Amino acid sequence: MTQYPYGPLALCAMGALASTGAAAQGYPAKPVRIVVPFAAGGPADIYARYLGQRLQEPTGQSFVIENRPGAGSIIGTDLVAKSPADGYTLLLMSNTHTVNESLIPKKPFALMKDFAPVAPINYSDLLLVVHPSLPVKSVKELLALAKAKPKGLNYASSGAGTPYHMAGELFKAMGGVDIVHIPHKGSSEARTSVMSGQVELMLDAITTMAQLAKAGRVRALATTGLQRSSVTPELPTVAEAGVPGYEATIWLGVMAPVNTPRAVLDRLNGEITKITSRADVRKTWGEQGAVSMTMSVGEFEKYLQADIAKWARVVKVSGARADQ
Amino acid sequence: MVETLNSLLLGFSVALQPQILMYAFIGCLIGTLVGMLPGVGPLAGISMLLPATFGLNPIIAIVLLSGVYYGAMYGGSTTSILIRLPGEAASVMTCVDGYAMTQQGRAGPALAIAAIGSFVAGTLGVLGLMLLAPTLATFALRFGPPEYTALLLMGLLVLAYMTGGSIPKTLAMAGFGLLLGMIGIDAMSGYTRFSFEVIELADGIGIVPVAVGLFGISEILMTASQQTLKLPKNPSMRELMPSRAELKQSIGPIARGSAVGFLIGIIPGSAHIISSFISYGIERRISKTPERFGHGAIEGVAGPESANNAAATGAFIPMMALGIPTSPVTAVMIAAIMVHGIAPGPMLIAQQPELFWGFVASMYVGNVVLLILNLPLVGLFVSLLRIPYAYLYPCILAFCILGCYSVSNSVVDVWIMLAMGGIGYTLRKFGFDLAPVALGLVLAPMLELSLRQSLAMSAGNYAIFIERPIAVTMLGVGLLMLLVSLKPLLFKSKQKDWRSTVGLDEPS
Repeated sequence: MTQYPYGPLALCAMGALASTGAAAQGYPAKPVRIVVPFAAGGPADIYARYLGQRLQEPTGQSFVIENRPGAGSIIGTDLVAKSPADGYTLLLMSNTHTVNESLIPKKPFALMKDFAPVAPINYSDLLLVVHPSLPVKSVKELLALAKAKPKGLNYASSGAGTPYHMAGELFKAMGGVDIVHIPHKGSSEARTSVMSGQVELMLDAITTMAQLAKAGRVRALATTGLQRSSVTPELPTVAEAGVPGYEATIWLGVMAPVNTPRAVLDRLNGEITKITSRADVRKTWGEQGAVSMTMSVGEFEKYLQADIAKWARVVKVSGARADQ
Repeated sequence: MVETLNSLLLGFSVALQPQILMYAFIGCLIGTLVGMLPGVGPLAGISMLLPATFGLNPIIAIVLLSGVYYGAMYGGSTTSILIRLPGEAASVMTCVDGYAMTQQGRAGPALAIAAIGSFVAGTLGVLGLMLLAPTLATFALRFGPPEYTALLLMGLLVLAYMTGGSIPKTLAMAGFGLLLGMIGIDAMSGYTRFSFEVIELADGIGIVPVAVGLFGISEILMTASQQTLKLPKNPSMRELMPSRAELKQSIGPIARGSAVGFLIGIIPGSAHIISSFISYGIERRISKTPERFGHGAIEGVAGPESANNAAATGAFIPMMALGIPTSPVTAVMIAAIMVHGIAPGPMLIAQQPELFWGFVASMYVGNVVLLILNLPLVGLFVSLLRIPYAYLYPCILAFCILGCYSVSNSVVDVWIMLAMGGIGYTLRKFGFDLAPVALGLVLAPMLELSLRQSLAMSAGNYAIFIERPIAVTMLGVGLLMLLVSLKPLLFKSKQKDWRSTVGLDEPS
């Protein structure tokens, strides 16, 4: 996509800079709410609260987290889409949103039309794990076993359309194997299934899975980032170990309703980037398996577009799309 | 054993620290309130409290949150018994006989037995958690989708025992509940079903607005439509406590409810909601006088209330022993300790003995606190009924609307609740029982998902249900129960059916 979809916004923002520069300077003049369209206690919620707390110091206003989970993030996201574009309602989003663009075309909003990018927060690698009873010790052996018995191996996910599901579909497509998707209600149920051997493998958040792997409940084969994870430096990446070019992470970011003044977007981007660049923040996140992402508003926009295009290809290849 | 005792001593030395004791008390108090507020269930309660625990130490956080969780199980019964309003999903069954007892002026004994049953079940549950956690957790892991399917099918069969009304009417209501449970995004394919372009419906219909509407709102409408109001008589202090005979009647239900609830509670997932339904079904089935159920049988309060408390405790077993949350509530609790840098995992008990044993000990303390909190309040709660309906009911309605709205800040939930109130009123006028609707709604999504997961795992082969020992055993027991319940339908017994002795039609 070479077309620049923010023409009107850019004009708007320039106007805003000229006329309401003072207003943007006064931002934020009242508490800001960050809508998290995921359940309380999940990684998205925890990092949103972490960020919200630290945004309070430089801005002098509290950033209130509001959990509006449901319907695979659509309920909370739609709420933000319909909120005033004044910078006082923000959306915490993840690649669930970029996947949904192609997975669920029939939804009441379009990400790049109804939202303006603010800043990315961080990404976490996934860990490819198998139940210890499965006789494979590496990604190569897993691929060989899966090729030997098509549809013989199952992989668990926390539900259709989640990053875990898409990581599995990407593995299927790029690894050239036929493994069966078993969706669950939430990642903890999926995790339980893999630990108990009901389902043979899963691509899951590294934070929780690394602990289970250390205790011998599951066998970790590889991580899914382009670089090895700081949590498990001894493990190869999936790309190194047999599926060249494979990358599937869970990343988080912040967006605002479209037409939010550019000055507000830049201010928020600056404050968030300051936080994600801090050494102590990077260290804490690193121990949990999350890596800071820092981008300008423009860079984040390009990143979003590339991510949407990437998952559109996966959805097309895998035939995972729900509402055809 | 000595080791366990030593560990428990360590636990009590943690739990009895004044600060932790105070937070256990606060947790229990908030939990009781959360349970009483219609709509706000334990999950909503602890999710709202979660951010507040980030600044506390992890032991306090978990003591506080678990206090809210099992406190809600105590509190949930109060509104069910007094005003037929289930505070959360687990107390739907208590509405039936608990409220019938209130109408007979026996609200006091009903509330007291609910508190006593909850205490016994909670304490037995902690004992089980302490002694058997690692063993049971391994067993719980053998529960995969096929076993789950079998369990839920058994739950569906409980329907046959749930009401004394006609079987076609019961089945119709169960069917209605199952259909309501079909609404929303299909977890397997991601298709949205029956949502009629309302995005809130894509997430399915929650049990809370339905239960509050069907039971609570319909009762308000029923009362409003009566020409002369019968005020419940004011009980004397002596009548507030259960009589010796009532206590004796309740021993069996409390013991069975505790066992059933505990076993269902340790199974990963959300099966614990059905524990109170199953307990009610069992009690009604084995009772010598099943006709009393639905008309104020104390067993119908004692059993389910014990079951839901034992299940709440049982649900901690996989969380503590394996370090993984197996239900939404425990997932929030795990998040609360993860924030403090404690990595959950199978080594949790070994690495964090103070956390685990402090938690166990605080649950003993918490159950005592809740009993002390709830028994003296019985008199206070009962006197609430003296408030004239003209003032009481508008307040209740306002609380229902507030509670339903606050669960997910959704106006759609309020409309669902009000619509269900109208439907519930109409159905009751035609003599339908409403409990099967609630059970159907709870079971449908779980049963569908586990059945389809099983079939996906076996590539469509139904043999997966008979190849697995636990699943096949449960299906066998369920089939046996079905046959037993069909017997009076197939073979007319020479003896008169019990129904005719109480003036009901025999089932044909």
